Amino acid sequence: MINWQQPQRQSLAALAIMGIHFFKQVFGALWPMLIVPFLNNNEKKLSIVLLAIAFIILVAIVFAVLGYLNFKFYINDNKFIILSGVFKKKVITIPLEKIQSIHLEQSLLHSVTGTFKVLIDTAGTEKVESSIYALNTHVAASLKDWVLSNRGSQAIEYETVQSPKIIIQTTTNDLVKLCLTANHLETLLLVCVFVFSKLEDMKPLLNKMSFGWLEKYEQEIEITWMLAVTVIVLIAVLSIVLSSIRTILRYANFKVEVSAKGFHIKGGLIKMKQMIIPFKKVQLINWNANLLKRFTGMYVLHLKATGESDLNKKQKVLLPITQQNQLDAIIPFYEDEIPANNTQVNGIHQVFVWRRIFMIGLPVTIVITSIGCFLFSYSGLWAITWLIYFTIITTLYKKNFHFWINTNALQVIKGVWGRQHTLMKWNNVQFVTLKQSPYQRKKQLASLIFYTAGGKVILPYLTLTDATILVDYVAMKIESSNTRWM
Amino acid sequence: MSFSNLSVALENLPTTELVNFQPIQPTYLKVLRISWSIIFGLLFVALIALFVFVQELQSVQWILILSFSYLLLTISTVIIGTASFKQKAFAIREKDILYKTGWIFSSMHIIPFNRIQHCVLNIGPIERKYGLASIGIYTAASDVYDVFIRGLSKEQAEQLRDFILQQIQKEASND
Repeated sequence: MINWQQPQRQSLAALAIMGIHFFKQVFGALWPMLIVPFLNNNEKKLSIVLLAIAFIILVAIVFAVLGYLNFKFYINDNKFIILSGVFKKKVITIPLEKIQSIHLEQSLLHSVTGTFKVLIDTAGTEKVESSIYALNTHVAASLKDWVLSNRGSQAIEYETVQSPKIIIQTTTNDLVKLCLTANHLETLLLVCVFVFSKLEDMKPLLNKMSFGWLEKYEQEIEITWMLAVTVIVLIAVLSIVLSSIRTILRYANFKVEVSAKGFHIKGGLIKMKQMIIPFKKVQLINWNANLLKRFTGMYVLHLKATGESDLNKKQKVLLPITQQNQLDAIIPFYEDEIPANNTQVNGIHQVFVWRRIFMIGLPVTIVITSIGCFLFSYSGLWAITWLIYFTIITTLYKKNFHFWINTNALQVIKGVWGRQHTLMKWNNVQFVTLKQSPYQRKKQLASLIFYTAGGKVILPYLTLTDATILVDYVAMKIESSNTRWM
Repeated sequence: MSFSNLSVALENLPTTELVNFQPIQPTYLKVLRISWSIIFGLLFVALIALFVFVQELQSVQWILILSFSYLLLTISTVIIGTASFKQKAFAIREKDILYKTGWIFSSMHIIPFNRIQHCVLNIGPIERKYGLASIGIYTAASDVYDVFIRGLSKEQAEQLRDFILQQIQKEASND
């Protein structure tokens, strides 16, 4: 039994992790400068670079050792206290009742050393409050259990869930389906962004490298349809391979269980992630399907918890849904009455389409067509097809935008090719904004924005009467309710 | 245990349409004008410095483009800012606070007291000169303020802050 009132140190593995972390940060910023002498075989500069690398390693070791020695944590008077800092001492005090969940993460280095990274997540909109670099597996698990069972009466309302119940467990078959239906275009875009950002870093390096060997191919390569198709196929294959790798890394061994404490989420191939999301922390639910997933009945479910807007994509709670019964099992933990099941469907006003075409489609078309004609003469007129595409997608968006309202929640379905479903309980709304553009004022229309601690939901182009009634109704729901929003 | 779940007639709901909004203090327009004078005065000095020290800009073409842009920015800020000032108004109801803003794109925010996390009273140097203050209202929806009501008199702002804090405490004790 560990005495948590005594200041505890991290596992020794933290030393290596902190050192590598510091080295990666410094080396990540300086690497293009450091590898130039290697490529140019400049011996004089090479020795300076080697010395610089040795110096960075030495500083990293010193920082890691000092950081390790100064890092302590303990629990006193119902407060989780973390002492850290090398030159500037930092004391983080987190009241136990504020701790919403404790996440355990395992990277490759963690799994080799049998440790876990511990992330402490608190209420409100703050980011993950603090983290402990590495704790031995049994210490991390025991800390998590101790904190979660001693943090006071944290809304354990779901006593009906006696023992953890598995809701999602990915199989190899699921993984294959997820890989094939992943968003390959998004991966391609991410790769492009990554390459372009690194190109900027590599500019000094590229300037010093010689590309003479490439120039002789310049005359030999003829741009043919065959070549263009080959390049497109290669890019497509590369995107599919990369998005499959991303999917496997994220969703291998993925498991979601529910217990009285909330959703227990575990998964990841190299970087193992474990987190608990208390039911009350979930403010909004989204389940989205791109075109491929839509036809195979699959979704990615996003549990939007408090502080969601501050999290980066890696920290977001995204669950792969491969069967409808998984979705049916999760949603009732947020809201058991789905508005779409028993209320009238609503849509947005027809003028939405014309307004978007007039305000966005037309100006963009004029600009790109002008640029196109300026650069490519009459061939630039092809840019007008953008207006046709924009009109089609805007019409489809309007046609597919549906929402349902019941006494407890709002449900929205939208999307052009894919579908995005949103479910938001009125009780989770923090505040409401009614917006009007000059055109909307003239036509007696308005858009509504509902803000929650997990994100916002927009209902565009409603009639002003409907929007006002809805605002008044939601205000009444929030203001008359005694149920806590978290 | 008593339980009631009466249906609510939508026409009986307290409506935001009938609320009497209170405009912000007229002296706030002076604060705005002083702020614009300082900002555009500094921009003017920077522009002159650019014309004097950057040789590439010492051509009629550049002087005309930059001067026209400067004038356009100044005039549009003053026109839009003055018109927006006239639209700013707030209302306090028993259970929430309403704030209207915006001239071209208008917004009305409705913030229930039982969702406010805290509020901040701000007094800038120019506001202080005219006895004005601003109130920032924070909910859990974001880290930054959700609504910032400028152009209140200092007394109004203090009263509003105290009222909001009182409401927050009342809501907390009801939990």
